Amino acid sequence: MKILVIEDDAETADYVAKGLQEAGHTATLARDGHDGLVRAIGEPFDVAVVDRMLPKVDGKTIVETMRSAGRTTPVLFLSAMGEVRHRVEGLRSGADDYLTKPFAFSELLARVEALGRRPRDAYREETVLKAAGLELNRLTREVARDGRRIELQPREYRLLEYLMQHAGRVVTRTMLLEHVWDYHFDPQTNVIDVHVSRLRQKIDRDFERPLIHTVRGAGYSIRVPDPAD
Amino acid sequence: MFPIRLIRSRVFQLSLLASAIFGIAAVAVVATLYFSSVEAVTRQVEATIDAEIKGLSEQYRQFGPVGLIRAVERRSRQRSRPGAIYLVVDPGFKRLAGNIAAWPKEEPDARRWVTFAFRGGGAADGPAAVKGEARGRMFRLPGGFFLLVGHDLREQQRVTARTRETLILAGIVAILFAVASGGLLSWLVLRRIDSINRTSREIMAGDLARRVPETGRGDEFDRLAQSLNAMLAQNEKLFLGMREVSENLAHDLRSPLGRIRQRLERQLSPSLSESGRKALTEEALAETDRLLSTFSAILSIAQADSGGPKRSFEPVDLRTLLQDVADLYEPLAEDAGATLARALPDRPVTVQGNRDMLFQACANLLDNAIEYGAGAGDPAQTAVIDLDLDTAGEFARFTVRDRGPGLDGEALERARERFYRADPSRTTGGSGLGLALVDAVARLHDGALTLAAAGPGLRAAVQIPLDKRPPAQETAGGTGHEAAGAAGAGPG
Repeated sequence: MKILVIEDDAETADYVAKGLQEAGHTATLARDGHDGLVRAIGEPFDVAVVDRMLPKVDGKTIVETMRSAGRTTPVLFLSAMGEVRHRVEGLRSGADDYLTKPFAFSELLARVEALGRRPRDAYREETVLKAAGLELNRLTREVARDGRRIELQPREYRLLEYLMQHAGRVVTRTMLLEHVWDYHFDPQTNVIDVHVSRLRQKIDRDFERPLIHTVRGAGYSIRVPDPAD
Repeated sequence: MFPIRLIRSRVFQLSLLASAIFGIAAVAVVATLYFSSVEAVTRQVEATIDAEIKGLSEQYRQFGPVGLIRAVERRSRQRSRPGAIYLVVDPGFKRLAGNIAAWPKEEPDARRWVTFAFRGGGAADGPAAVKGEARGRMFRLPGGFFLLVGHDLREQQRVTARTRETLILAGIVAILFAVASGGLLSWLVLRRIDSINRTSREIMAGDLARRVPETGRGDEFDRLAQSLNAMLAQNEKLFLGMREVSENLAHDLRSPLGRIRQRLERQLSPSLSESGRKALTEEALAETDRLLSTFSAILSIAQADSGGPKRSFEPVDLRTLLQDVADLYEPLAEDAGATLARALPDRPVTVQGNRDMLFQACANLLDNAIEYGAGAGDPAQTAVIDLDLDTAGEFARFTVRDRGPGLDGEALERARERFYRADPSRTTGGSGLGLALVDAVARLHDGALTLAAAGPGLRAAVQIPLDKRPPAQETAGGTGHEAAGAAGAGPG
């Protein structure tokens, strides 16, 4: 993916850009708001990572300008301002996601990759999601693996649906909380892990190849083990 | 020192100013009275004189100069006319009759009125030594005679002089009273203000427990003292809280930072294997994440305390919210050997609030209940954790009750403080911020967190005012609970 990183702090910018490149993406750096805005309007990117407080033009103005110029590039706000209202403001200005500094790179990467797939995600609207032999029918809300029905609780269903929408990508615990449970909060314990392990029991227990993987220090991923599918 | 302070005192200056204004007004009134009475007396004198002149002129017309002289002499002798002055002179100003010595040298005005000095001596009984000032009118008679009819002003002058003296004396007394009352007033006020000053200096010197003394009279100084004391108490509480928080923060951050440091240091060791290095890095990262989550909890508490999130309040249905929290935590509770028993009303319970923060609060309570309440009792028996929601009056209340060892005494009292942990060794998990955050969130919502011992276990209740905005929302009722066992309860 082509990713635009608008960040004035050199260390953060290099850290983000380097990490994105290691993950196989192309990162373009803009060191101030003006440069960032020109690039965001003029060049095609799959995702933009925008710091909120920038010299010359601030992040919020960049996103608002992009949106009013008809640019639909998904934007992830990166900000040291973590209060509830800052988050709400940021998302209202047209950004698609909001991550508070300091952040784990794995979190940023997972979110950027999740955003990058969004606009072109034709399969997001598909009625049947598939990963290896696993099928999830969004109309009947039925799940089956290799033809065998799997009974899921409604919450487990939504958890699996979200994982399958992002098949092949890492999904962090915070992303699951925000999108499956629709709450933004800091769990003190491993609540999510218990849910995933229950889901895993149902999906993977009777099968040879596990589909739900734990990514250490990051989150979870539904992955097809071999290309021999 | 006192007089200088007194003069500089604003109260003293103001009371002097008030006295001065009052004094000037009083002087103006008295002076007006004085001058108008003087004028009235003068007019009366002049009227009397005019009447005399009229009478004497009549005598002159009828009986000629001799008749006039006789009349003057007769009248001069009469005791019934005290202070009356008469003088008749011939064209050469030679005295013919009367009770004063000589024709006055003073020039009369256009209407022939004159105020003149006189010496008695003309009259048979008048003592020659009498001297004084008089008011009179000169009259020229046909034939070149002159008549002076006047009135001795000494009596009036004595009266006005005494009046003047009395007024001056009264003025002096008034000034003394003004100064004295100003001084007394200032002293009374300064005494109270000084006690406030003294208190604030003592507080500045570090004695935070000092308070402004109250006299109990309930006057405005008492009211000032009360609000100052309330403010001081609040400040002291905040300050001590701050101090404790920063001390605890320093203490709590030192250990994890120390561990991170150790792990980083050990990574420098050349004998370390690649996998060992990776494990150390992961441990250091995990430790850093815990530190960061401690910080975000502190920030969340600060945020809630600031009241800022109030601006983004919206109606939140606590029933749905608690169902969501319960759904999220149920598997965790089960894994820990506990059953989550919900008792939620069968209709929505709406409050004004921030759903993420309310969710966090309830999640913290469940976290605690699972950590401390589950598995603590008889291992053969599953611990039950109750999650209740009901309404009472204008409040919604959700309660989390565990059956663990609970808290008592000081621990129960202090559990809401930041960084407080019942375990003094601080070896158990948790940041010691969970309940502090619940408390802050409850207060943000104009509610309260109450903790109570519940036989076995701890009962934590958060009470929040119901949203009164939608009229459809009934506050009554809320007793119809839908008790749902943990096992069979699916998400709504």
